[in-house]
Amino acid sequence: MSTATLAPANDHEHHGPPRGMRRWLMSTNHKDIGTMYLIFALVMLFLGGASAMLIRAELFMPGLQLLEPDLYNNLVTNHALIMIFGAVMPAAAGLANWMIPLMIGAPDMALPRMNNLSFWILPAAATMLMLSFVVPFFPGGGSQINTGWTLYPPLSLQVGMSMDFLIFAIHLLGISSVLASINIIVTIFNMRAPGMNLMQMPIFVWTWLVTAFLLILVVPVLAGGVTMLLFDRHFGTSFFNAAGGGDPVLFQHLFWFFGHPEVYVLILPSFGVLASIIPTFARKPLFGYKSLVGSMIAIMFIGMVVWAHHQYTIGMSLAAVSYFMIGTIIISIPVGLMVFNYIATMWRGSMTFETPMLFAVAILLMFSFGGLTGIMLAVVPADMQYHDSMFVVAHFHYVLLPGAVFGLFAGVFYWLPKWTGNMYDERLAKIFFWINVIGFNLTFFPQHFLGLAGMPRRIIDYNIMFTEFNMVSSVGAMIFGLSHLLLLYIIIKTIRGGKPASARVWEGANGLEWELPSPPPFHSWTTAPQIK
Amino acid sequence: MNRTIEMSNDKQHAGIQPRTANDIERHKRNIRTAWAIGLFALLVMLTSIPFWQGLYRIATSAN
Ligand code: HEM
Ligand SMILES: [Cu+2]
Repeated sequence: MSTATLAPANDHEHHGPPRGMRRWLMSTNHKDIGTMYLIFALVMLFLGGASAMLIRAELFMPGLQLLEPDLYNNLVTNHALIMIFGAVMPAAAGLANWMIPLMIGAPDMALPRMNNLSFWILPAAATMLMLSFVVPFFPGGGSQINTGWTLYPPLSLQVGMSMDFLIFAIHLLGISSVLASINIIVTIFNMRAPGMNLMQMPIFVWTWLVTAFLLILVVPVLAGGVTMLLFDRHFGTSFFNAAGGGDPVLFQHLFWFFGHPEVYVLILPSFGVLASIIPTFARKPLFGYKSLVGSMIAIMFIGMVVWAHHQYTIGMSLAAVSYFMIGTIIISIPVGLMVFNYIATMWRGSMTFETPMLFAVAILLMFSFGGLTGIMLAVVPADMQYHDSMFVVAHFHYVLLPGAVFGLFAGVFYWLPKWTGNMYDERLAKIFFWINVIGFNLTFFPQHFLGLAGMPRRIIDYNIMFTEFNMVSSVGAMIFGLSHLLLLYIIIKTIRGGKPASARVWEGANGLEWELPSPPPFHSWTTAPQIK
Repeated sequence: MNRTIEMSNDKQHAGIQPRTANDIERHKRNIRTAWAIGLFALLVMLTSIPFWQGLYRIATSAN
């Protein structure tokens, strides 16, 4: 890994941040924009969490208690979209904004004004998304979005105007992520400190480079797909309308061409966080740097050609189905390789288990479990049984919460002292970790059994034979959901004060970001560090 | 160049204001790279989807 020598700062730059609202509305500073992304993501996490807890409250018992079916499905749709586009992606973008310039010795992102635009599109998009949820409750507002986040036609062609709000929200979200991706790629290509070549960059930076390319390759396809929906809905086209000679399955292909790579978009930045955390707390260099980079690139390419494993039941030819099955199973090799590299990094290290490391270990265990159920689902004849059951829900929550969300939590704990200059409360953070992880497993483990026993997903009611596991799951969900209030408390407490953090923060930490004071000055690396 | 002067007056940009010929060159290169990737994204959207084919179909089948 690279080391740096600090050059004296240029004294023209000794000014603080601008004051008042201007600082945030007009910000071109990567740290401030990173902070805004993270705060936005936290707000969305609570909104998405509220919808999840309503869903689980309804499913506590068979029969209808709190909700009616359309509202239930509207909540399911809204929950997924908020979590994916509002919470996980913006939080990862927040980490990218904060950390990439610090890690590569750049003074800021390459295109600071565009950075401002990428962020400020998000609140507008979130407003549209929330409107798509509430519009049906107004007179003349039309029907609720009962399609789930996959928005399959023909149902999505029949939903009222709330679907148009949603399509517009997706357009905005897409523009925001493409702009952010462009910025990240340009920053990584053009702004590295002199002497740092691509193969010396921290893996976190690499994960974001690959993620940004993936986004550029797939988000425009989703944008095109929902635009075609919009045209079918309002302008008389028949892309997906069988009566007009179109094909609803075409939408599924377009959606999953985006949707499967999207899951790697969600996990890769968090895997990058792990590549920072594990060497620090194992006090050993990262194992297999090159194979990690190779795995990611393999994941990017293979990940783009396996999408139809989400559509085994549409009646593809045997050849097509076999191809997608084999491709899907092959992709678990590079994914597994990344996990193995992290385990090898820990092997015989002098490990300590501060909260980021606790999360890292838990992530590897639980994510691997989700990977295994993924392989079960990849097997065509098996998936004919599991498809659209709670088993799929269990699978993707086991990969997504550990693989994406917990990785982001780990990153926040790892870098919070760097950002704020204060140590977080380790005791509280450990309590949060345990409640969070236990709550998570209580919620989602029983869903495997429910799915295998035949409980379908996205249905408000269920057969009484499923009651017990659903009760466990719902109790777990309340514990899991409420535990995030503790996270919020810990973060606020750390921002307000705490034991001052040193520049390096963690004994075993390596990398340019730790050469700067905690918190780093408003403008850092105005003189590029020398990489030796 | 006008642009450069405007940027140096911008408080928020002070940290990365172009100071040397090198910085200005980098600034230009950033913008060039950004356009290249942006146009590529546009290309992805336009080509990977039978969007225009469908538009063509409505355009030709109407009246
Ligand atoms: C070993 C790697 C993996 C394999 C083999 C795999 C396989 C599959 C398959 C076959 C399905 C479709 C199931 C069905 O609908 O019948 C599926 C669904 C899903 N997977 Fe995975 N998966 C893997 C890893 C991941 C990862 C890393 C993520 C995300 C972080 C993920 C997220 C999802 C999601 C969100 C769905 C459900 C989408 C929906 O229908 O709403 N998977 N997976
Ligand atoms: Cu997939």
